[in-house]
Amino acid sequence: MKPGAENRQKGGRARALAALVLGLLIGAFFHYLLYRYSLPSKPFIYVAF
Amino acid sequence: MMNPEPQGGFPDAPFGAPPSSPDWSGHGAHPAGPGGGFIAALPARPLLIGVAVGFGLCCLAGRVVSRLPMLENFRRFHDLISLTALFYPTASELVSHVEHTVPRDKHLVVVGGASYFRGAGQNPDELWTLELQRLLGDDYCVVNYAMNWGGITPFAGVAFQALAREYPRISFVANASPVVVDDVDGGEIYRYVFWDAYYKGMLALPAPWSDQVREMARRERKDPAGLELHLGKWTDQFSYACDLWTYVGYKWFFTVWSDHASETMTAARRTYADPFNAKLAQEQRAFRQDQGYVQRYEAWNKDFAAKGFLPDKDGQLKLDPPAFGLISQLSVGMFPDDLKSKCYLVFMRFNPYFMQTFTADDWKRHELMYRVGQQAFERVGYRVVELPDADFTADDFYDAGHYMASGGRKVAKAVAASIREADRAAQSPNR
Repeated sequence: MKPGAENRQKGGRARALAALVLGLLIGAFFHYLLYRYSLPSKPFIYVAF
Repeated sequence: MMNPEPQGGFPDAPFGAPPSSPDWSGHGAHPAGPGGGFIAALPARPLLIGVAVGFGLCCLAGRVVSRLPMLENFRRFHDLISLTALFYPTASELVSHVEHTVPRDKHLVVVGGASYFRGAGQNPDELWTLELQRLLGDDYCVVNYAMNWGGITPFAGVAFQALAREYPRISFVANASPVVVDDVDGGEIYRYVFWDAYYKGMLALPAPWSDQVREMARRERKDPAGLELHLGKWTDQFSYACDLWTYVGYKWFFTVWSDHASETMTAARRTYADPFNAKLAQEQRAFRQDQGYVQRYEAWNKDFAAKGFLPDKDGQLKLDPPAFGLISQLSVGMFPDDLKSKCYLVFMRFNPYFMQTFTADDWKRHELMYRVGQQAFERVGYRVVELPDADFTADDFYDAGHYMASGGRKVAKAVAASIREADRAAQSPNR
């Protein structure tokens, strides 16, 4: 294999891995958003008991 | 200089990012900034796989943590682990805590209700539920799930229903009123717990009670806020998002800003201790010296003593039996039939210090209301625990209604006697 092609292959793998990791983070973020949307924007009461 | 916006598309990406090619394998995004080119150069397929896997792993993690005991050194829900500080425990988390801390052969006593039974006015080491545990003994396990502004059915009431499927010996104790009935789902503030349990299949739902629950779900979904809640809880049965991120917030770092923890927003909620208040006696005096507060609660108590009564032709207040018939009828739906006899509704009495303008007629109506209210709830199968006014002094109260430690001990004594009596009757051969 030519050195240029090898480098491109390595670069392609690195990009795929980076995309996967970024995807994992985005997936976790979407999951977190479901939680945040379930919370009210303000607590129902501000007085202390 | 701004990049010109191409017709029908986004502005050209700066820093030489590749042009748009919105297909699955290419670079359809136009991220701005120096890193944008790198992100745009990432292949789409691994990215999408990553999104799906990341989301799926979080769902799995949520499912796992929902079965773990989350609460540590738990005695009650103090301010920073309550809804007031945007901490929303899920139904699974309430149930898991009990499952991991209370053996199945114990008699489980779940305490629900509002701040009165949460122990507002009592320090953590003098909670009335600790006294209740002491009076009942080792065969019983008392868990205090009462929450500020709670009622009979919400929050702890849901945990009770779910746990009743696992604990053959179980009782539910909540503060109640002779003239108030709660919705099946506990009302607007806490209904999220009920529907969380409902969609996760944690409730028994025997007929005909289940028909009423489904009807309520249909009704609530017609309202935008209700639809949002139901959609969220329906989704959560698959995603377990609320379980995971509440668990993360409790154990490691909290992610929601709240007034109660504005300077330590990210601190794990488990690190906050239930605070000790050394000024309870001073605050008790301050309530009594606050004329506005005194007048407000005198008026409130007078008004309360007229509930369930109607004026006759002479303007005299007379008992309105249909009102109590309605209370009886509505209370049927609070819990399934097989659980009603396990519910101890403790009728709260209020601080006599704020009832000094009561006339003899007010007192008479007050007593009658409690008596007829008791019959209304008992008629459909609930157990009612009365706390007679004569047993409590003004010093037993922190304010107009919450108990100091001495008042809490009296409540514990009455509740323990009632639970023990019911247990003795259940074990009696003459049953």
